[in-house]
This record gives sequence, structure tokens and C-alpha cells, in this order.
Amino acid sequence: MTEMKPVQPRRGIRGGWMSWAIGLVLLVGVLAVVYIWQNGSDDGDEDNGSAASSDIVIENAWVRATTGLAAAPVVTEAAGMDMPAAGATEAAGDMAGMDMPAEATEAAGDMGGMEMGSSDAVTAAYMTITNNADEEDVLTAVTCADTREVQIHETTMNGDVMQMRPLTEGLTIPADSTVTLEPGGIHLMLLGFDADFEPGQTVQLVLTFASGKELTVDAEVRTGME
Amino acid sequence: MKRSRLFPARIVALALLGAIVLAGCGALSSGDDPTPGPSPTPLPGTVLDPPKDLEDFTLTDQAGDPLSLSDLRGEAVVMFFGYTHCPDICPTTIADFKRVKADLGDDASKVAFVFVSVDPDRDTPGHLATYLGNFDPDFIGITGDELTLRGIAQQFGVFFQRSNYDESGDNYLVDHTASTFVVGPEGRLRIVYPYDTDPSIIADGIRKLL
Repeated sequence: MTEMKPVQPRRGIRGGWMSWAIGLVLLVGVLAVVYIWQNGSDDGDEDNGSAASSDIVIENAWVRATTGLAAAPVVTEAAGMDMPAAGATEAAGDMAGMDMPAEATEAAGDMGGMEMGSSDAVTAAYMTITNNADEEDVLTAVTCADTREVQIHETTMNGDVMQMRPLTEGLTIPADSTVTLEPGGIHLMLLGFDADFEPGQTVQLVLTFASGKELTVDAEVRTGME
Repeated sequence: MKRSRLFPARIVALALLGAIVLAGCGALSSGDDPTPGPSPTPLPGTVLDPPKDLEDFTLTDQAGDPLSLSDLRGEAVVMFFGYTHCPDICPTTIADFKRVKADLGDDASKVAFVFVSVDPDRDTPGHLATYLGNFDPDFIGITGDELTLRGIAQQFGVFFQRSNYDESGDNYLVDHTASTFVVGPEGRLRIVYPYDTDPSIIADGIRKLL
């Protein structure tokens, strides 16, 4: 019994060290298992998608209407302010403190398919782009049969100053990430079109990625005030 | 005996700790955001105290007629500086003006919504009429020569600058201050709201000036 005494603390130190070490190994083991399990579940998601192009998923694509906004109901807490187009046309002549000549009143009221509403107008498209692949991809080009040009843009705020720039290198979608194109941020600028975009229409956009993927997206035309 | 009892307890504790930490990390990293693009916290805007006196100015409205700030005396004036070839910020803000107007209800008759184009080369009166008419024909669009616009911008602390992005020079963007300015019925600058301020906040601010 007396011989055991010097052994006791030694065993204690070693035992303590051993238990921490084994605990650590187990911890690493658990980490590894959970890591593999998580990746596995991601792969599972991919497999559930629709085959080849499911690496890139585009959702909630919409284009801001270039006409029909004046007549669109405005959704706010204060109800009952939807302006019918006819009333709006009349109102144009009655502008605060202004004396509008008749032809200008017509111009303001009859805003549908005018020269400007077409070739010289611009609008924007928004969406979310999800990359489920293990490698990043880059949206390099977008085309639209209805417009002369589509540019990938980013709006940034520098203090209170808005700066908009084309993303000439394309838009990178990191692996396993979603990039949201939304007002005040990244957007597709549509320019040069002959016909206005009316709420409810569908616009087809073709998105080309650096990986060679090409996706056709149906974007709904909305007022953006829904 | 005591040690050997602690042995598994410690292992289990560590493993559990690891699992908890990992679960936490997993929840943080693999979360697919339900709300993409967090909207910034609503700001009340900057109320100028004392209000800033403004020198009167005259620009051309979408009917081709001169319009002075003093013509709008008696009404609150909600102003935004932008350009119609702006696909993102400007239409978003003007759409918000529609919401402000709707929120104001009957009080909207005492409020003028004014879009000042800082791109007079492209934004002719006819162009402004079509552009604003699409949103609300009651909205006023004004522009003028560069020098006059610079003077007005200076009063409001507004920056604007053309930015060419291709060789042709035909296509250009305009960097500009994206704040909304509220001039009181007495003609002084009262409130400045940053871009993307909730329309109901702007409506509340305007109501206090009427």
C-alpha cells in the first residue's frame, strides 16, 4: 500500500493526459464524420436536381416594366390609392404650379409605345443565381432577343453617391453559393429595345457561364412595386 | 479508481463539446438565407436644424416650360437627382415616391415630387415626360444646362459625374448622389433621406412639415 503512493500521482498525470488525447482524437473523428455527412447531403441535393444544368439554378428572375407603372396599384399601409390610367392622364394637365401646353399633356398622358419608350430606354433584370457545384463559375454574358444589349452591372454606394459599373470580367458565382441580383446591387441592364416591357409579360434571357453552361431563363415583367 | 471514472467522462464531454461547436458552425455556414439581400435598418433621415436656406433656381420642366423652386412655395417638395438611363437606383427611388404619395393620401395634394435630371444631354423634356409619365404623370421632371445644375447640386450637397465605359462615348453612366431631399413648404431644405429609406418613414417626415 505504501509503495503505491508514489505511483498514484504518476498514473494520475498520465491518465489525465491520455484521456484528453483520446478525447481530442474522438473530437477530430466527430468533426470528420459530420463534415463528410454535410458534404454528402449537399451532393444529395445536387442529385435531386434536374441532371446536367442543376449545378446552376436561377430563381425569381424578373424584369422591371417600362410601361404600365402609372396604372399599377401601389401597395402600402394606406390603402385605396390605385390610380386608374384614365384619371392619371387627366391629372397630367393639372400639374402643380405648371401651365402645360396641350401637346405636352398628351405626351405625358399617352406614355405607351412612344419613340423614347423604346430604343432609347433602359431597364434592369434581377434574379438569384445559385451555384451548387464545387467550383466557382462566372456569368460572362447575357443576351435577350428583345434587346440590343444586356450588360452585367454592379451598383455600389460610395457614401451617399451611387456608382454603377459594368462587370467587364463577368459575375463570379462562388462554389456552393447564391448571388442575389436585386435593386441597389448587382443587376442586368437591358438597353436598346423596340417594344416596352409590360407587366405580366415574360422575357427570355440567355445566360452564358465560363464553364460553358448556357441557361435560358424566363423572367417575369413586374412593376417592382408589388 | 477515481481517475478511471473521470476518463470516459472527460472523453464524452470533449466529444459533446466538439459536436455542439460543429453544429453551431454548420448552422452558420450552411444556412441558405431565407431573406436574400438584407434590407438596411430604417434610418430616420437627417433633419436639418436649422433648415438650410436655398437660393431660388429655374430649370425646364417636362412640358418645356421654366419651373422655379419658388413656384412650388406652399408645397413640400420631394427631390431626387438622377437620370432616365439609370436602370436600377432611379426607377427604384421613383417607384418609392409612388409609395410615399400613396401613403400620404389626401396630404399628397400638398406635396410636389420632383426628379432633377443631371443628364441634360439625353434627358430632353419629351424624354422626361415619357419617363415620369410612366410612373405618375403628376411627378415633375426638370433639367437644365450643366452650369445651372452644378449650382443647384452644390446647394443640396449633390455630386454627379459622367462615367464613360466604352470608347464610343455614346454610352455612359452617371454617378450621382442617391439621397432624397425634402424642401419644406416655406422653401428651405428640411430633411435628407439616404437611398432606400422606407417610403412610410419619408411620408411621416413630410407630414410633419405640412
